[in-house]
Amino acid sequence: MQATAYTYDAETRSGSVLLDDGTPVSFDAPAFDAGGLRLLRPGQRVRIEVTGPEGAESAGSTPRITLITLQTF
Amino acid sequence: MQWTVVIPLKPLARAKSRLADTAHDGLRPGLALAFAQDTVAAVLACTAVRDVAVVTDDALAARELAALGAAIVPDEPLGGLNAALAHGAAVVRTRRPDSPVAALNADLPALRPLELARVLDAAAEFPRAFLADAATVGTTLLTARPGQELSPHFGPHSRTRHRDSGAVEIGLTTVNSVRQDVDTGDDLRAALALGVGARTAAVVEGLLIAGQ
Repeated sequence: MQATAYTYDAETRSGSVLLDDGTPVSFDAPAFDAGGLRLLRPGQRVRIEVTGPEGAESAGSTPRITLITLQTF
Repeated sequence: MQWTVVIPLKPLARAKSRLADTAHDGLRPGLALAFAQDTVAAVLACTAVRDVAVVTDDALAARELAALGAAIVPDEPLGGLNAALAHGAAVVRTRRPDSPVAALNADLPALRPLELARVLDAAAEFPRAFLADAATVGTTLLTARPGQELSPHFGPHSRTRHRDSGAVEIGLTTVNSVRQDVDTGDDLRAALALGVGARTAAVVEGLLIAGQ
């Protein structure tokens, strides 16, 4: 799925994105490293992969980001 | 599984002719674009989707849908819906040969990302799979796992044709937003009852005012 880079801290290689519905979701260094990027700027369109809540009872809770990279179709 | 979704969209001026009783010639292209925008936006928000390729020759639609994050593939075959889909899938596979590919209609204004994720997760169990439309004779989604050709048979009676082609029908019951394509005024009312995306809602508001 796609999202928009919101914050990024080069020291910790972590930050956050905004989902298209405006929900902020943070990502950690392993997720950043999985995407192979060197830098992220706020406002960049990104592709993320997530794990976590599935099914109706958890619709509304936020997923966990496992990978963040640029859109490279 | 992370899917690449291929969405065909014919030129807006020729789209949605069966909505002529609901929206006049001047409004229909805007309505068709709004359907496509809400469809693409929902697909891009789906956790089972890697990226989206829209096959179209419409300059306005290409610009608007690229702005949402879709890749645009020119409709080079110009041979209709199935040729456009086969071409789009081939372009996707040229760039990433091991992509799972899903063909999806561009007229699903009520599409919900969570329901699409459930359908795509179910489709991952089969080499090729499809989902029947709300009218139960057509198809809104056709999938092909890596190594499988998409072999699209969209058009009249596509549900039977996809079944005959060996694709497995997905039998999920509570995924109406993925089935509700819009060709007629009744379809549009059904989609509105499910709840449509922001762009379709805005255009329909204009329709209601114009009809007063």
